[in-house]
Amino acid sequence: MSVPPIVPAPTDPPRTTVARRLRAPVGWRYIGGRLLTGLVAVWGAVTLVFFALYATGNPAILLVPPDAPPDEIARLTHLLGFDRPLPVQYAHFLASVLSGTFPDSIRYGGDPLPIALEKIPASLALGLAGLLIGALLGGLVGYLSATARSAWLGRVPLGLAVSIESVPTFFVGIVLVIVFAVQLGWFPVTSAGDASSLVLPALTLAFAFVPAIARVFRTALLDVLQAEHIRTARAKGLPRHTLAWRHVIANSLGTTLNVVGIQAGVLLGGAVVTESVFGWPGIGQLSVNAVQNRDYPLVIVCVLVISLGFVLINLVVDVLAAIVEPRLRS
Amino acid sequence: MNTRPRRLLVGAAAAVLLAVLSACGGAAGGGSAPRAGDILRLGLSRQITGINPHKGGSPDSSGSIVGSIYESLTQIAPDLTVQPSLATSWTTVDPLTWRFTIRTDSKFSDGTPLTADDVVWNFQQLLDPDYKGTAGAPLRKYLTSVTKVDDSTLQFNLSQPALDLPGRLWSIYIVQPTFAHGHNLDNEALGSGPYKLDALDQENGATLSLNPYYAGPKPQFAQVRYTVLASEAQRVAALRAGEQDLILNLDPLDLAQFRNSDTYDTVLGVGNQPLTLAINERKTGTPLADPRVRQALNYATDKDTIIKSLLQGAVTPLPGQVLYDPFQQPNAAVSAYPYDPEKAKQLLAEAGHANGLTLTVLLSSGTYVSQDAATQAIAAQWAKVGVTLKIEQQPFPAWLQSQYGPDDQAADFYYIMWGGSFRGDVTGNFGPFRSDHIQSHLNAPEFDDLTTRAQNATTEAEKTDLVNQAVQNAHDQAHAIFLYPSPFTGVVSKGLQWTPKPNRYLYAQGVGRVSP
Repeated sequence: MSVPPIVPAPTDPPRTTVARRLRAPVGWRYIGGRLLTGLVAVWGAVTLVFFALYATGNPAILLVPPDAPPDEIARLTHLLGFDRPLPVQYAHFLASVLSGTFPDSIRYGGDPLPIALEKIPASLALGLAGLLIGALLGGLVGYLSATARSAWLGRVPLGLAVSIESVPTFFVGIVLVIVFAVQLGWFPVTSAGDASSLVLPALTLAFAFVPAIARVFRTALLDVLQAEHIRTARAKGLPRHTLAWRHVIANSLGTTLNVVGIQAGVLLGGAVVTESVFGWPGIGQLSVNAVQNRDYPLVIVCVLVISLGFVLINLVVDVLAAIVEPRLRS
Repeated sequence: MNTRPRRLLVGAAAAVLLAVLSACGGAAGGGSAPRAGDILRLGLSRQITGINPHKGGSPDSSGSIVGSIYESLTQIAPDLTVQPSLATSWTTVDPLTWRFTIRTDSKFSDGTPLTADDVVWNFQQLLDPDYKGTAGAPLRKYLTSVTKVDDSTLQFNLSQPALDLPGRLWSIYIVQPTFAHGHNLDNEALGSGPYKLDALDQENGATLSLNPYYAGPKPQFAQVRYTVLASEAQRVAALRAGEQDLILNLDPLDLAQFRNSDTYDTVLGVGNQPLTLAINERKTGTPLADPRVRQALNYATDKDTIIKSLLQGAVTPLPGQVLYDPFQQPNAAVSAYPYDPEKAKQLLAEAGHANGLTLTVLLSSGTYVSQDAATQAIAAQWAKVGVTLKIEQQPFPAWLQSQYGPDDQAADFYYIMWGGSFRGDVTGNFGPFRSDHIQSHLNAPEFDDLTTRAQNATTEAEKTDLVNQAVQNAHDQAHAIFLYPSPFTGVVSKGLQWTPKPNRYLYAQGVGRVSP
């Protein structure tokens, strides 16, 4: 009679484990659901902006020369179709969008979508540069404030970062221009869309980004540093850099990435002011000028592109966070 | 605790910053004067609103670019006299018929000739009520048709006399019909002017280069870059960094920082447009319907103090009218309302407002030089005679909509800075002060009648007499608060030779180099 072994013989890992390892960090249903929700949000934003804009006034007024007869406003209003009831204009707008075309830009005189899309590379370059500098500076400040033994290092950089948060973006931009462009002459005042023109607007954006990331990263680091597995790792005598990178920083990135995602979305909005201050040829500047000139079709397309960008950035960040922090996959 | 990750983080951040900083070679320099072969750098103080020559454009943005690329039949000299351009001469057949002789050597920048047929086609478009080009709106009031007599002669058929027709045509630019059919004129250009368009970014500026087929004198700069610097801060910073060669429309108080510059000269003079506070006389129950109240407010306004404190004494008060030397012939019998608060109080009491009244002015911030500070000063001056002036601000589109809107929804006062484009321009000089003007809330039937007759006069003597009567009427009825001429300001590189154009059109062909 054979006695069953107390310890089962080692066998191959079950196939389900392999499949689990190869599985995408988030499911396609999850991605599809998020995308669908995002598209509904985009439609809502565009609709809201449409009615808000069209209810505020007649854009034909800005096109009329000052020496025109009074009936010129009525003539232009009719020619541009702004004399139709608002729901009719909205239905016409939706029909245009579904057919793949948008109403002509008033100022540019053509399809506003290519005009907005043409500005995306410049905005992306600025946004990514600002994001990168902001994340690095924010991470550095957060790390210093969480781990520094010196009270000065632990408090002053974070205090500075938080105080910068209360300063409006445009003011930071103007100060940077005065110091680095006018006084020192290191960078140009007016943008030529090149690398040297990128520095000051990117720094301006980064400064807006640093405080939030520094605070969240610091809190996450402090939480992780209190965890039992860190104490265990220390007790096992792990090298400091391995402990810091593999166990402390890596475990703090999940929540921080979520904040980066939210901030990345904010960058699209924040870039509106920064691009205008520096004359950076991005979609933010285009949007502001379109609003000022009551170029309604262009404003709506800008809102569409920016909100789509917001949705996509948040989706990418969610996926990244799920990769870095498996607990978030559920 | 861990020093190595910290060092790594610090190192990484420093590396990124260094990499970004090192990408900045050739940063803005110290503002040297332009040399032969350099690009001419001109600053624009307003956003570009398209470059369609049939849609007009502000002198501070689109108008300057369009006038460097396109030609019209006539042009306006810096002293506001009307000069030949595509047209070499003109004559009247009768009060309703004019003939213009045009050049036959003019070519568009693609080498095709500019013909009489092209000019006729342009006017046909502009006179079409379904055409989107807004520059035709003023034409349709008095022009019936334009016909070709021969290859160098055009006939203008009018519906009413227009002694100043050549002047009125200065802003009607000629585009090439074939190009206009296949291209978007808001963003693309093909003209016969001194320059052609190389690149356009409506948000930030435009780059031009020489039109190789231009028939006129060759401009001195082969390339020109217009840069939009819409805020005062941007204009001042760009000049201080030496990034621009010529910028107009600076606050007179900001000119001081360039006065002793080695690089720049400053310009502080009189512009060709009068600044007035336009009055809403048609609001239901408004006290401003009474001429005594309007006169009182003119007496209560101390123009000299505002000019001295805010405008560096660059101008003198308007002589009680919108016509003033050296751009227009004023009515010598009319003079400025003196600052006399006692007289103002007396008039207000006579009008039944001895206990004071409250009025509103609507501003669009940044639209006119020193406007905000001047308004505060006016409010303080009027308070001394018992008038409370409430100051409201709106963005430009909303401000314009309010101004164009119904009388009862419009504010009591708006600023108007608008004047004739050329000497003797009755429409430009008096248009905004007529009851039927698009911006007007006036009730001025006598003034309307006099200016209509002046516009339709058939002799210069008749026109001058009617203009003088209209000026006297507007002064006596106080249909505006007469303030002062717009100051004309600018900062110009010492390396440039440029005759200031007080109408602010910054044409690239008008800028040359200082002779070595």
